[in-house]
Amino acid sequence: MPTIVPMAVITVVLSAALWGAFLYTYSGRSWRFLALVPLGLPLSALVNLGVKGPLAAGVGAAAGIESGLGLETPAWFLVFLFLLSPVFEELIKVLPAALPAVRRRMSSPVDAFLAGLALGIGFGIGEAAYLGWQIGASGAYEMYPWYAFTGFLGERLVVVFAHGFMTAVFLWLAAGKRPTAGFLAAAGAHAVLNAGAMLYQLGLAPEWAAGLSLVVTLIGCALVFERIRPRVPRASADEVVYYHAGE
Amino acid sequence: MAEPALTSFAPARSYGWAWLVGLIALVVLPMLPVLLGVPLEGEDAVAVWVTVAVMLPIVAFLLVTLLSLPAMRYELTRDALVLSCGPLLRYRIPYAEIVDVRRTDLTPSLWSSMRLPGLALWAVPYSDAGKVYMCATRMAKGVMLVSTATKRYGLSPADEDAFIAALRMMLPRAHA
Repeated sequence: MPTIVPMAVITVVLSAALWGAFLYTYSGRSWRFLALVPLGLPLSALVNLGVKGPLAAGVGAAAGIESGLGLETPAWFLVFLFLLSPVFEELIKVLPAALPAVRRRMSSPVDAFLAGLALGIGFGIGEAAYLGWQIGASGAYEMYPWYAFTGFLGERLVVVFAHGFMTAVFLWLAAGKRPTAGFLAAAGAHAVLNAGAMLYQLGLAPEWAAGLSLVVTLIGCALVFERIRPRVPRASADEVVYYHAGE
Repeated sequence: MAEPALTSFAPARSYGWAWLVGLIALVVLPMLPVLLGVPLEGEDAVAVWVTVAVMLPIVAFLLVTLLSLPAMRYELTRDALVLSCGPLLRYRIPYAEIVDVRRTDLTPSLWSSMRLPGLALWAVPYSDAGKVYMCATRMAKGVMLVSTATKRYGLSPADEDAFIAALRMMLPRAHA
């Protein structure tokens, strides 16, 4: 068994519990949107294996570009590779919104926001599982014990929120008759999130800078999220006033 | 010198301590190579020791928090309601300043604070109630909120009816 497996399992379980509870709380303690999370689970594997991978290989082969050239890779191809994730991942995350059962839950921009949050969280959890499988299958990290992968845990935990945030923004703006703005906002945020890692892989930035870039962007996403998220009243209010002065 | 308590109430039971233990385990994980005596070289050794230097104070803080939980109490003194949790925190709320007491459900915000399912301590930002100074074995559901003109406090007495009855006796011009 690949050494990353225990940590990958912890990551998936912890992410599902944390962000599932988060979604449940923020949707007014309703199960309605939590039920959408499983729809996003297989989408990361689907887009990586069925779209991004074949596209990158196909376009590269057609242009006669070898892999692993680093900075000697033609700039347009680097940009193409960089944009694969933001463009196609943001598009596939909203695909379940075409289903009638999902559309029924998106009767307003508020509901669309929460549905997007659910689909994005599902995608992020599935992505953690997929990446864990990829890392394990590669065999490149077998020399490390399972507890050395805490970086994987920490990064994936917060990226699940980021995916939820991006899809929430996309569907929220789309429900407000601005689908293009929604897509550009989601893909743009995604691109900014990935920029640090891309620069590090090209040798243009140190590893710490890539990490810092991710942290700063995530904080920005959290700030925007807290500002724009709908304030949903609780599905069942349970408040008892014992004392109120002066009345 | 602490004023004597007329009555003292324990918090409601919860599994917040278990979540705290889990959090400690997560924080200890990156330090395992050192704890298990795994031979480290070069950059790996530097990275692990830097991690240990950062995580050790956090682990110490979390352990002190865990050990202080059994000391959580809500005391009614002659002049004030006192919320305490061992040496970690002590909130003194004069009865004359209390304007509202209610049990309610709160919505935690994204921002970091000492709040876990079944445990909330110190200042916790809530999306609906704003900043609440917590000393409770509940994070969100069924929290008793005591408000003054400027601050809100959250607690979770085990025997809520007895606590409210005792507190009402001390409050000025009780209304509900």
